[in-house]
Amino acid sequence: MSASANDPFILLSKAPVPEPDEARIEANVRASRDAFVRNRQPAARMTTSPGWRSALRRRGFWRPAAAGLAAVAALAAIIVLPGRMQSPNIGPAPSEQVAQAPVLLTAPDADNKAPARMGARPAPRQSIEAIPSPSPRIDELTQTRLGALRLGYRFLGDIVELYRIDGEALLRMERRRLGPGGQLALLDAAVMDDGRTIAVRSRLNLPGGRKSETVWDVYVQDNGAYRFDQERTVMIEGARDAAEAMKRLADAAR
Amino acid sequence: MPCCADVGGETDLRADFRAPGAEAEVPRQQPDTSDAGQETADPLVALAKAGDANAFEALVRAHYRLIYRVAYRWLGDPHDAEDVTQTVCMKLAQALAGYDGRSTFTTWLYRVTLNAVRDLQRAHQRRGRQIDEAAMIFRESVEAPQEDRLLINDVWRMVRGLPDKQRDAVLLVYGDSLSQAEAALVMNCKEVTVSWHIHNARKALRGLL
Repeated sequence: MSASANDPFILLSKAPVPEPDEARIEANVRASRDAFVRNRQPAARMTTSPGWRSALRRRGFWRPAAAGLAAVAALAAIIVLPGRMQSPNIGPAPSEQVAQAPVLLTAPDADNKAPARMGARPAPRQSIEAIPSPSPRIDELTQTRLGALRLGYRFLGDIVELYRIDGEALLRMERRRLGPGGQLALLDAAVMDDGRTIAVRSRLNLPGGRKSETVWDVYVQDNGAYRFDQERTVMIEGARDAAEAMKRLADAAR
Repeated sequence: MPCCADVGGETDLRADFRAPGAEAEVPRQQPDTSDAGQETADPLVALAKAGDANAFEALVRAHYRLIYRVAYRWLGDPHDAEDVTQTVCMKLAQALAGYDGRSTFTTWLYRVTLNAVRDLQRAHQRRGRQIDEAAMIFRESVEAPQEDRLLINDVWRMVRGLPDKQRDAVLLVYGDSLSQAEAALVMNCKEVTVSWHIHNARKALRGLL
């Protein structure tokens, strides 16, 4: 009798682990290094601002500065919408669709598994796990706008990757497997006034006309990407619209 | 003992944190904690903490496969493992400043990775994703000898379905070949608690395995 027959747990270490994708390793290491450098920069800037301090002391500085601040305040009043929402980006990018909700993201069906914008078509029998997914550039994504959010997405087979586009920054939100022909309907979205917390209401339309429940998901920006926030998602479960979702989140934050 | 010998290449971790593909063996019962708390002496960790971007990149690169392997073993899906690895790499850029050297860097990294694994699992659970989906994908990639293949798949599927602490204890000790003392450091509990979780896991799976 083998050892594994006596203790099946011993088999656990025998299972092979696939190699991570090399392109993804490079992309992730580079992104991580960039984030590390960014995190270190504010402290450095704080210590090298004597010019500002001396400018602030000068009496004549304040007159044009006051006019500038007034202009910024007026602009902010336009940007910040009622219901504690804000729109961080003004004006669509050239390739952007200005969509009315819902935004429908439809996965290729079983007969057409080529990723919508990725160029290379996988071999017919290639499993979806083998499709490489290096971090994309903004221009490789289909761009759209939902409420206050500018979003980018791409398909890798029947997996959709969703990104928030904030200026030039590309912030990954999540990846969902829709199944061949499956559809993700993005219904509503809003950004908390901290700029880091976003809420998206969506519904998964499964192949064959089946629909899953409509849900709100909350994501929090964390080190160059968004992570799903379970606790706050529960707080806004069943919210009728973005305003109610934002109000609940704001109340909970007080 | 340093946590990584060749910072530019493959993960080359301490012998007690095995690299992918390492020979399986019966987990050691004797704890080896002689170097616990010593890894802050690792020049790479110290340099990265001091703000050296090159050292930080080398540190991430050296541990990338460890993070990926842990994520894959816990989740069973290469895409999910990639997602968790990406999350952890980004998190390290900020969280490294908070690493205080009270545990080894690798132990701390296990904790960061397992937290990220749990975050992803919560996200999946909320969306009602079937647990078996991961097991199905894993099944395709298993290349163990035919005679063990079905049993390995069954064991993995069942262990992943255990309560969190039982699953963590079993996967750390048997999946990743840590000693129970090391697993206790990762899980932030006593060694005897790890034994207890493993005992309960066996009890829960008795009759199924």
